[in-house]
Amino acid sequence: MNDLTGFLFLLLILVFYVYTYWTSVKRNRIPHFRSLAGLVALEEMVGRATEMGRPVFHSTGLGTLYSSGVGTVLASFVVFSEVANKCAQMNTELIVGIGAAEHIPIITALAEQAYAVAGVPENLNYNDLVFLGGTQSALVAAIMEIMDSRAPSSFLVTGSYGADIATYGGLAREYGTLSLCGTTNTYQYPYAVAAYDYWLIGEDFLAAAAVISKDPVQISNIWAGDLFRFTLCIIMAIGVILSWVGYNITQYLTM
Amino acid sequence: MGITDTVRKLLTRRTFVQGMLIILLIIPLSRPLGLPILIGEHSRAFYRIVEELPPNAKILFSQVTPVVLMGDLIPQAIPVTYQLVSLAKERNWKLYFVGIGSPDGILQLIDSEIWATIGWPEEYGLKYGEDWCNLGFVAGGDISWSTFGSDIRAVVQYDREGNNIDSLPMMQDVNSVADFDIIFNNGEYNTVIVRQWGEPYGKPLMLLCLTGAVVQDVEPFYRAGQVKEYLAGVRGGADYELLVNRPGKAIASLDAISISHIFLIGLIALGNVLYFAEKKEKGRNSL
Amino acid sequence: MNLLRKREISVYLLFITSMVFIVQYYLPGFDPLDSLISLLGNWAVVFSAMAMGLGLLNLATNSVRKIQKRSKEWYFDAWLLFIMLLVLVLGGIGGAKDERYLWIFNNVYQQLSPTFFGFAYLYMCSVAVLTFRVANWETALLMLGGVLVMIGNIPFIQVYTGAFVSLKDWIFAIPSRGVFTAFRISMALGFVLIGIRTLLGIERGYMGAEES
Repeated sequence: MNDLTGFLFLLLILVFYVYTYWTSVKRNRIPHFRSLAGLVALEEMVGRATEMGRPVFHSTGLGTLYSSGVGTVLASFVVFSEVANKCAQMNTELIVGIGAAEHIPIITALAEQAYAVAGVPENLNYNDLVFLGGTQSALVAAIMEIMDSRAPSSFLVTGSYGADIATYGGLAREYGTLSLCGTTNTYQYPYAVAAYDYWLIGEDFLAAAAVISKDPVQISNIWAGDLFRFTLCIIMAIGVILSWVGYNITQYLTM
Repeated sequence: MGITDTVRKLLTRRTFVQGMLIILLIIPLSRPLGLPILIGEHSRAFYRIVEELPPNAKILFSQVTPVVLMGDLIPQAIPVTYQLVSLAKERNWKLYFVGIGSPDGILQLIDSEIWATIGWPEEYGLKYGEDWCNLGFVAGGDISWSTFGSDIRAVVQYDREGNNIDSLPMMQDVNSVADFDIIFNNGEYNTVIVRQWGEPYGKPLMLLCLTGAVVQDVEPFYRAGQVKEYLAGVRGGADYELLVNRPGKAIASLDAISISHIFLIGLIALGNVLYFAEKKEKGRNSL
Repeated sequence: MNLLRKREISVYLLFITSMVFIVQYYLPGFDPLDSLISLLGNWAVVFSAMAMGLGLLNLATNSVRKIQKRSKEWYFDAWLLFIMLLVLVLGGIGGAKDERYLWIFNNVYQQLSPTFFGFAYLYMCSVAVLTFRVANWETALLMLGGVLVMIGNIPFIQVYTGAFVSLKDWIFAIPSRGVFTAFRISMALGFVLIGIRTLLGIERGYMGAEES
């Protein structure tokens, strides 16, 4: 079998998931999770836009649906869905910047459903679902233009980006726009924290989907991940101690 | 209006900060200052590994630099490619170029930047189809990398010139990544290449990465032995230009890099001086 | 309800396709499965390429609408439309090696693209001034580390002082690498979890809100 160690780790995660699912759903014992400031801020961002009578601008990022970064793209869609729900409920103008062409039908469907569920499908302005060009440089140019011409009150940057994240944060500061960054791109974390008002980085962003839903089944999935993380720490500690006494366990971890 | 007010107004004006930076960058770019540089250990090791490649080696060069990142990645690709093509004839190396990823002109950069600077491989005595070939662009993400790794012909039937790859003599006994002796990657997808080509086939990976934070991504793989060696952006490119004795864009950019680093440190220091001065003023005013 | 709009159909398709990929990953060498993977991969790429046409349509529609309404700076949209069609026609007729097409690519796109990328550093500088302030001991430590790494990275300083280079290398090799490794492991775990949720059909947020 290819990658036996990876398979065993995956099996362990599934075992933990079964345990946490049974505990949280069947026995109704859900652990407390810390609140994610970025998610709490979504309400504030849409509310601020409503009060100021200015739009919310959400850029959903680049990233293909058939790469290893598809988790980021999915999480971006989930956050967008939540933002679209809130904008539909509060009757706030929503501008969506779509980075990748293949996201267009998905974003359009998500926006349509959000407004339909809110009971105001006629309020969705299809002209505000804008394809931004498909490359980083096109995104930068298009977002600069939208920030300048439409003057949004809140700006959300979620999904897969490159170094252009720093540019959007700087733009948001310049125009006095409340900003949120959601990304899993490790080398953009410093810019996300420095340049934005709110951020969802790394696993916070990926867990946002589960947290938004408040579904015990999804939250048990996050709990399973935490249990696996503790197990990994224990394995690493054992590995470190064994390496001090001259025994190398990495040979068994690279099967 | 006090000094702190003036400085605060200047530092918070984007036009001033960015304008100063642009002026400071134009000076060394237009008139190189010739500041000395120290060749890094990674660059030396990278150079040594290439020099010590055995004869008849099959070398796969994956060129996935999108146009947007060419400023950082092409300056290092040029001297590395120069070293490969200049030694290829005497060592009987076979060079295979390919570009897998999002369509953003990744392969066009080989023609317009690399060959345009160092000359086409034919000028070094290499023959297309026998000593070097360009397998063309393959669209896609992880799936394409994985499929190319296991069966090249599943994703590539024709090379960039439109020839059937089976008609190329150098492709006769090459079916998967396992048939190559070493792999170079210039651009993004570093972790993908470790996952899809390095780990499954155990091939030595030589990565030409973006500067700075992307190196942090590659460092754990390097320490774990999954990446043989890496270069880091313009800095690595400048080192390499000195090693192959072919000064170019990277060395020319280093003066600008030095100036911009010093400027940024100065800005941060000034920002902090202003912060403490304002704090002191507020404290005095509240008494 | 329209059968094709049933969310369950999407979930089942997703599960079956994902299981094919997972089984193939752990049990490689089974030819029919490898061929199926290859076929599905090619389909995914074809869908993505088709989607570009959708993007083109979206851009064109928006531009035409702004031109018709004579919105603010509508002439830029007219220029965008013109360039888009020009490059499309040149590339379509002459191919990727057409001289005029390559001229536009080499002299326009290849110059503008990195220029816009360069904005990132300009904005970083303006943000750094306001963000990197010593407000408490944590930010002081952060700034100290940052400044030491920056000094260690200055090319001409590396020639004269080995101390900063050693310090920079130590920061990169020990604390920074440890943190980034932890980030990577955490992120990979997050991807596995979201994958499990999506595969099992538990995560449906990307399908939108459910109509009651």
